[in-house]
Amino acid sequence: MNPLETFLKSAPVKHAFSLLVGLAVGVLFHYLLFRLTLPVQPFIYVAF
Amino acid sequence: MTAVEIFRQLRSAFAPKTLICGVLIGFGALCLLGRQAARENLHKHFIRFTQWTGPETKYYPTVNEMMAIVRAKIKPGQILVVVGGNSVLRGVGQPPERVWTKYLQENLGDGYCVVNFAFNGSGVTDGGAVAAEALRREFPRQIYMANAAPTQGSVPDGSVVYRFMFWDAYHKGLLVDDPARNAAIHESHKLPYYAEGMNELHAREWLDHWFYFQDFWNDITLVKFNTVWGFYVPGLTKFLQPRKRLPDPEPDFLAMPMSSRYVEANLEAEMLNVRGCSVYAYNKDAEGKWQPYTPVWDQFFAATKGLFPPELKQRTLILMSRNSPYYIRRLAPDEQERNDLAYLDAVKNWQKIGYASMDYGSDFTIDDYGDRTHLTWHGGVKLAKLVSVKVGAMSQELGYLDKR
Repeated sequence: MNPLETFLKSAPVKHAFSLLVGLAVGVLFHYLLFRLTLPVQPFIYVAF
Repeated sequence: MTAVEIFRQLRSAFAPKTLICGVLIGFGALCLLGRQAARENLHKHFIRFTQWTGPETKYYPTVNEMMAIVRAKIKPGQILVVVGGNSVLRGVGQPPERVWTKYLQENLGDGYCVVNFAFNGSGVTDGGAVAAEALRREFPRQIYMANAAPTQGSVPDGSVVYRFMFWDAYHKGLLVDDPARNAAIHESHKLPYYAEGMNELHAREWLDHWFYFQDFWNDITLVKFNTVWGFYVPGLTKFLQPRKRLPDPEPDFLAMPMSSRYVEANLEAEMLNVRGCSVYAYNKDAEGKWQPYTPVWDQFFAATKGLFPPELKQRTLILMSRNSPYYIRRLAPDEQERNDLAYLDAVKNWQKIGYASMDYGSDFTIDDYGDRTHLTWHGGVKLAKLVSVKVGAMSQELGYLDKR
């Protein structure tokens, strides 16, 4: 087992890493909800 | 070690339950922060919405955002004056330090709090109308105003571009449940133009009432860094710049030459617009007098049905924005007469259906207008004077001044 493998397999690192990735995915999902529900085209104002 | 081996090792490094917990915590935390952002005023020193804080650059202000602006601006005991309507009332061509609503605030004095929630191209039921209605219980002494053209009605849930505000407030339970308005909305959505995109809009606003992603990411976009990029963002290196750092780009019409305000090449098209305000609304009778053309006015009454709940009609002021004398003087005398009639009848008809209404511009000069319809700051001073008198009279009639 190489040093990286050993480091990654230790329980605290594994949970911390998983939590961080999970948080990032949660944030990304929230942002995607925002961006994907915005209208595709901006409103082009000419004159009214 | 190859990349595939590194990836396999990383994958084996995940604890699935912790990963899911992380997703839920991350997502949940942002929902809570969104609720928090919805209560905070993101627009310090708010004057008006600019291109950077409007749908022109894919920024969609939420109803909570507008409510927070009002709460931050208003002082105890003040009567709330919300200005809605289109670019004319937003103050296009008036630099921020000389926008007409500043003069309106000065004229009305400390007893009133004027907030400009007008947007380019928005109608009487957009933006400001939604914010004012959502604040009706918190600030019952309120006046809402917007502008329109003669015979122009509207749609109760707002124009296609701006109706996201109405449905934002609707899904957050902030609006009056008015059966007449609901019926009018139902009717208007039978037309394909209004029906298109409604499912997506409902889905977005329904999800947002749970997850508050609009308030959270608007906060980030405005205050921290821009998250909605596009061709409209100035300079490739500035695309992350928070929107609040981008200045209000509104020019001063009076600093521009007449030739760029009243463009000769557009004269014909602008005259069509000017004539369009009255040409379909009247016919001449046998004696040569203008008579209202009933189907057009019937259409006006149909298109104003259920616009606002009955309890909000009396506090709503509809302004009839006249066109610049630069164009009016080019009309034939009988066309000028017809044009005058259209504005006066429109005011009467708005009053007939329960709203306060007035027209302005009949005695304004060419220099009061920046183009056919928008005012210079000079014209804004005149408009502010006229409107402040009307707002004072409305406050008296509505009994707002007795309760001080």
